[in-house]
Amino acid sequence: MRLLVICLSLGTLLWQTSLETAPNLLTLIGFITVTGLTLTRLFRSIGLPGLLGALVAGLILGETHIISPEDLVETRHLYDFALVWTGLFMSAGLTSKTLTNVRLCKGALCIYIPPLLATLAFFLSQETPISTALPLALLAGTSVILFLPTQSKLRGEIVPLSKLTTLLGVLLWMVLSLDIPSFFGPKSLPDILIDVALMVLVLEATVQVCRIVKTEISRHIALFVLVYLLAVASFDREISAFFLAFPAGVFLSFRRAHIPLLHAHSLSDSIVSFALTSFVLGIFQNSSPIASYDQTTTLTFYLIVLIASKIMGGLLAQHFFAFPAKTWLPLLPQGFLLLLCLQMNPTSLLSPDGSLHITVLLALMALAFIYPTSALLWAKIKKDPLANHRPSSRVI
Amino acid sequence: MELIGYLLLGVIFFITSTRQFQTRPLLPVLDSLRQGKKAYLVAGICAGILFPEMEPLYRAIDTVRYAFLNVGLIWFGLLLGLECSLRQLRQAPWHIISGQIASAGLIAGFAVLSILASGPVLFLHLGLMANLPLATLLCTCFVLSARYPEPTLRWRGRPTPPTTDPTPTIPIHNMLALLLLTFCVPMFSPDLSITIGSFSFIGGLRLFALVAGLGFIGGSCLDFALRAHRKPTDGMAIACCILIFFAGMGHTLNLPTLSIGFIAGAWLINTTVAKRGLLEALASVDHAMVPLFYLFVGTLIGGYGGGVFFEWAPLLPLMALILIVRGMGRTLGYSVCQYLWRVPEAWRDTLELSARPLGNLSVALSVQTFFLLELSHNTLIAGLLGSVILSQIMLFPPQSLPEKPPFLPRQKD
Repeated sequence: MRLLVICLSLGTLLWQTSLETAPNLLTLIGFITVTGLTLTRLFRSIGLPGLLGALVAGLILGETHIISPEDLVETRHLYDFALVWTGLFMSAGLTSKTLTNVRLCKGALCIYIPPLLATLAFFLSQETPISTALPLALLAGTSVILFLPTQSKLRGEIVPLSKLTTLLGVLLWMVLSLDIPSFFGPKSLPDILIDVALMVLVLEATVQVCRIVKTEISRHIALFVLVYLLAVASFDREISAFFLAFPAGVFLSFRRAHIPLLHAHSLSDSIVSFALTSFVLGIFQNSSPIASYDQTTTLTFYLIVLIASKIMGGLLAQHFFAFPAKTWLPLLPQGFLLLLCLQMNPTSLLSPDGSLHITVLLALMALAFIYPTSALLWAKIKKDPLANHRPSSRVI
Repeated sequence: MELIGYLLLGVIFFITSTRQFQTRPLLPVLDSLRQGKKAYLVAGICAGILFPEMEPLYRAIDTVRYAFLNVGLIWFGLLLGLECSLRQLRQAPWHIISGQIASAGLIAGFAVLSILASGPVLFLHLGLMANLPLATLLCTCFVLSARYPEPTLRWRGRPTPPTTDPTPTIPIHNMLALLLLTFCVPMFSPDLSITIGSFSFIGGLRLFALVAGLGFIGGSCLDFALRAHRKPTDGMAIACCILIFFAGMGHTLNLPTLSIGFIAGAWLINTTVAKRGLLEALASVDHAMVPLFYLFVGTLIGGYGGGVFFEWAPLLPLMALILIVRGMGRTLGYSVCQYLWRVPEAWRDTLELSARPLGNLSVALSVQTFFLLELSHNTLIAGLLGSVILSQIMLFPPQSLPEKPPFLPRQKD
C-alpha cells in the first residue's frame, strides 16, 4: 500500500509538471522504474512471478498516457543499457560445467526443437514469408528464468535447462537470421577481425578487473563500463543490444567472472523491470494491441500450438533423459523476452508488416501469465483451507 | 575502435596502479587526493579531453551525464540531511553548537564582503553575466563547506584524525551552508515564477515553499519505501529511483537539487526507526555514487562543448584567492570562537580547523553553481573545483609528541 501511495504521488507530480514543461529524462526513468518495481513487489506478495508486474505496469502506464511517445523516445539509450544488462544477467551462470553436461544439453535440445518446428510450420501454413517465420521460430523455443512463480525452487536443473535453451536460440538466431554484411557495415575483413579482437580484449579486461578488485561496488562499476560499451556498439547496427550482450555474458561466465551479476538482485530487478515496463509501454502507447478478429483467432491458435509443442518437448526430455515434469513445466511461460529483443525498438515492431510480431508477442505474454496463475491456483486448491478447522470426533 | 583502445589503456593503467598501491604506500599528498576520490576526477578529465562532445559515440551518454550530475547533487544533499538528526543536535553541548554557529556567521560575513568587493572581477574575468547576489550566495556556501568526515592530513605517514574536533559528529558548517542555500536561492533566483499544473509559485517565499514541499514529499516517499521492506538494503533500489525522480524534478524546474535532497534527508532521518540499517545501506550506494559523480564532473571540465571550459589566465589567482579568503575567514571565526567559548582549547587545533580542506559537498556546490548561474565561460566553476584539490594537498606537520626518556638499564646498588 505504501508503495502504491508513492507511485500515485510521483505520477501526480509528473502529470502536473508535464502540463507546462516537457518532463526530464530522470523524472521519466525514476517514475517508470518505481512503477515497475512496485507492481513487481505486489505480484510477488500474491505469489505470482514478480517481473510479470513490470509488464502490467507498462500496460497501465501505456493506457493512462501519462508519458507521451515523444518523451519515451528520450529514454531509448537507457533502454539499450537495460537490455544489455538483461542479456548479461540472463546468460550469467552458463559455466563450463553446465556447458559440458551432456544430459543437460540433450534435454535442452529436446525442449527447444518441438516449439521451433511447430512455430515454423504454423507460420508457413499462414503464408508468412520464411524470412519472418524463421527468426520467430528460432526464438519460440527459448526460455529464460524471469517469469517463475515465487514458490518455485530455483535449484536443481531448471535454471541451467532454461539458460541452455536460451543459448541455443540466440546462437541459432545469430547464425541463421543475422545479416552479417549489414551488421558490420562497409568494413573490410581485417577491420572486422580487429573489432572482434578488441571486443574480446575488453571482455578479458573486465574479467581481470573483476578478479583483481575485491569490492563488490568496483566490480559493478567495471560491469557498467562493459554495459556502456556493448550498448554503444549496438547503436548504429540493425541488431538489438541484447544479442550482443548474451554472448558476452556467456564469456564472463566461462571465465567465472559472472558472480557480481548474480549477487546484485535488487539492482538487476530494477534494471530488468525498467526494460520490460518501457517496452510494453511503448507497444501499448502506439496502437491498440489486437486490431482485428483474424489476428485474435491467429493468436489463439498459435497459443494452443505453442503450449502443445512445449509440452511435447518436455515429455520428450522426460522420456529420453529422465527430466521430471517439475523441471520442464516451469519453462513453459518463458521466451517472451527474446521476442522483446528481436526488434531495435517497439515502433518498428508496430509497422504495418509487424502485426504478426504483435500476435506472437501477445501469445507469449499470455503464456507468461497463464502458467504461473494456474500453478498458483492449483497450489491453493491442493491446500485444503479447512484442513485444520474440522471438528474433532470427540465433539461429534 | 578508438574508444575501446583508450579504455583498454585505462584498464591496464588501473590494474598496474592497483598492484603498485597494494605493495607500496602512496605519498601523503597523493593519498589525501585518493581519499577525496580525486583520481576519478582526473580520469574524467582525461576522458573528456579524449572524447569531446562532438564525438558521436560520446554524445550517446551526453544526456545521461547532465542527468547523473543532478542525481549526484541530490545524493550529497541527502547525505548531509541525514546528519541533521534532531536527537543528536539536542544532545550536543550548547556552547559547542553556538560557537560553531558564531564562527560560521563570521566566515560567511567575511566571504560575502570579499566576494562583493571583487564583483567587477567576476563580471570581467570569470564569465559572470548577471545576478551577482546569487553568485555571492553560492560562493559563500562554498566557502562555508568543509571536508567531512575525513580527517585533516599530515605530512608524515598515513593520515590521522585531528587531536580535538569541537564537533566530532555534527558537520554544523556544512549544514549551515545548505540551509543558506535552501533559504536564499529562491529569493535570488532569476526566474521567480514557476507553474505546476494549476498552481503558480510566484515570488521567493513561494519558491522556497515549493523546494521545501518537494523535499518533504521526497523524504516521505523514501520513508515509505524503506518501511515497505524488512531490511533497508532491500528497499535501496526503489529509494534510488525515487531520488532519481526528484533530481529530475529539480532539474526541470531549475531549483537547487542539493536543497531538495537536504530536506528529504533531514525528514527521513527524523522519521525513520531503523537509522543504523538505513545508514549502512546508503553507505554501500555511496561507494558507487561518489566515484561516478567525480567521473562525470571530470568529463564536464575535459570536454565541455568540444571546446574550452575555462580560461587559464585567471584560474590560478582565483584558486589562490578562494583559499586565502576561506582560510582568513575560518581563522577569524575560530579565533573568536576560541576567545569566547574556549572551543577548541589549543591554538594549534584552531589552526588545524581553520585549514580543514574542502570536500565532496564543496564539489557538489560547484556543480550546483554551474546549473544555477548564467556564465559565458566556466572559469569560476573550474576555479572552485581547483581550489578543492589545492585545499586537499595542503598538509599539516605532525604534532610533536613528548619524547620518551631513553631506556636505561637499572644500575645495581
